[in-house]
Amino acid sequence: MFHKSYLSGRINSLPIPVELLTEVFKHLVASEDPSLLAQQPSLLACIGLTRVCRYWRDLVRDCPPLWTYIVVSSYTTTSLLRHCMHHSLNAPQDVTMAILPDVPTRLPALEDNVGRIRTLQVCSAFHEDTLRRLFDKEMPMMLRLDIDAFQHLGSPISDLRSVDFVAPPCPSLRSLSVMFMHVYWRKSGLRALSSLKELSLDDCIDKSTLITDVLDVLAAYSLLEDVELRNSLPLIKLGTLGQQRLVPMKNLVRLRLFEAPETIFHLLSHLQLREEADVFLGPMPTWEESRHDTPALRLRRLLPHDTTCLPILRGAVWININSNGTYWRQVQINVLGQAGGSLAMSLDPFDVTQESILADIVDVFAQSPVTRFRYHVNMKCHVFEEVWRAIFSTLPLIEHLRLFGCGSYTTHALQVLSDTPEQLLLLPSLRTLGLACDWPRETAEALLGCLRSRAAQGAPKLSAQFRVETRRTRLGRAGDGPVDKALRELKQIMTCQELYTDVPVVYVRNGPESA
Amino acid sequence: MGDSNRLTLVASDGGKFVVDKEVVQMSVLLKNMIEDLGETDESIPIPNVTSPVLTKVIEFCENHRTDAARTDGPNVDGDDARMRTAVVSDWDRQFFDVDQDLMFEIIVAANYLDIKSLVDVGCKVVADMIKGKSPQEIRDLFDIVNDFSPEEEAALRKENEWANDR
Repeated sequence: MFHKSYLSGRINSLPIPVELLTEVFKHLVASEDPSLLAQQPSLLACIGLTRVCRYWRDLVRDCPPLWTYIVVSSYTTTSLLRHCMHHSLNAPQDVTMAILPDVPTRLPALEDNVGRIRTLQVCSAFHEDTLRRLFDKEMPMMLRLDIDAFQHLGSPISDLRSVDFVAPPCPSLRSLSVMFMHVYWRKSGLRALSSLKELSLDDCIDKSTLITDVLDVLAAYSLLEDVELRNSLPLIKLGTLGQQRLVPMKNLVRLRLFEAPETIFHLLSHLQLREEADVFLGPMPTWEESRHDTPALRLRRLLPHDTTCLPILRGAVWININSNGTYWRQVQINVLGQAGGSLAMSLDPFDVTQESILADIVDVFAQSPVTRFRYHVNMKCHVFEEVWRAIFSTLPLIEHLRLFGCGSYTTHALQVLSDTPEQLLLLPSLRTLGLACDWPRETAEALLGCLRSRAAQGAPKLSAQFRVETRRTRLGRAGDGPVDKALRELKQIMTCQELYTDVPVVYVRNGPESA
Repeated sequence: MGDSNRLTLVASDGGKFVVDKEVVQMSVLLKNMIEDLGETDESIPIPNVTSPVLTKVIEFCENHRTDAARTDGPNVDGDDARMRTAVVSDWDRQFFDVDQDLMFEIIVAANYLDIKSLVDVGCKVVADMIKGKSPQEIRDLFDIVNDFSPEEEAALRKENEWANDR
């Protein structure tokens, strides 16, 4: 192996080279428990290392990166801050300000070194003057800034709590995350952050902002890759759409919007997103809407009409509608595009109906080459034949269809697939069919009829999966006599399908597999 | 001609190891050597690594051969974020459940062969061994002699008093 001289050079250390021992120390400092942040675990770890032996002491003291994680809290003394600044030399600093009211007295130690702060996280109540003083100086190395002003809720709002003041001193800022502060989109401050790649605003609403201001800023932020806006955009009512204008978001990879439906609609209608972008929409009712009965939320109130704005609307290949939560059944709609992008929507179950969702899917994705369609709704609902007929007629390229859940909608869907209106076979490319239901006998008979009918029309053979949801079935629990009887009938029916199915499978949840 | 997908590594004690090229290409050093040599039957000597250590290194590479290449570009937090989020799997911990001499030899060999993932895992394992221990416990763990004079220890204590000073 290596000669001792290549190693740390000291008998009283570990048998590894200096640079590896430094790596070990870096891992140690970086791995300290973040929940103990206020107690300075990384700095205390450094101090502990200096007390092991002379060699470790000298090595740790002469390794600036080990002294770059600084937490300003009630545990932080001015001496400690100065000690860190001294040993970190000119290395970029990562500072967390878990500030309590007496912290400003320790600020001078930090102020002298603000020029090399790389990331700054303000995660508790802060004194306005504290931040003011910090941002009075140039911070040319600042890359990431997180401010959570939650503690100021209820306080009188003043200009000082605007995020604008951070812009001029931080020309290199790449990531900005702000909660509970004013964001004046129109002011020059926010516009100055043109190198921004990540922007997250949470409850940063300013009622005087106009959608055109927002578009101006987004147009100026040509490097943006990741945007999350939560209750931070001006409320826009239907009918106030101004002149047509599209802002190309050439670099945007991810967009998440948690705003009022109309606001989402108007913003999306003015953006030009890439096909590869991942978009998440969480429409939130306005305060007024939450107090009154409002009509069902339609996807057309949410999604832009122009597919140039959101290309996945014409390029969707996979649609999944899921409302299967145990307690709070949010309706989740997930769509994958052929170019790799995605669209996800999370809808309040009180805002929508199953029928309206499916009708809207037909409307919105009519131009898309959808090949996979999955509908999993674990609640009693009735989706009638005309809705299924519209879906199968509008999305004729579906090859894989899965219908999971309760109620009679599976039998309605199978009935439509069996019908041959005007000798037109619906879903001619269908190859696999997955079913799960709590009406096993009715559904099995419908499946049998569907397979026979399609085979008679020369349709390709199907692979079918059939699972009985026994948890809520009216037949009782798995193992009970009625369920076993139903399964025996199913198996008899399914074994008749040798001409029509490749792999007929019967699964029983919570019970013995009966394949 | 032998199998073009395999090559022979020769450890410092003469031990020979026939391995898949794909496996050893986790080592940047060996990857470059293979590219320089082209198609050849020549063995590659690893003069700094003994057979027991090379056995373990190959075992690690075999196990991690299917790991997806990390293509994420550097983000604003760079290496620091990588270290903060580094995860040591159960397999990795079991892999390093060896005596300390061998553990450090593996880390040194990984550094020489330039296998970043093995270096990272090894350093993280050692860091976890140190974590939460007092200076004396660390000395006992690694058999490190306390070479501070009483005066130096007193000075250190005084110097670090401020750490607990509220």
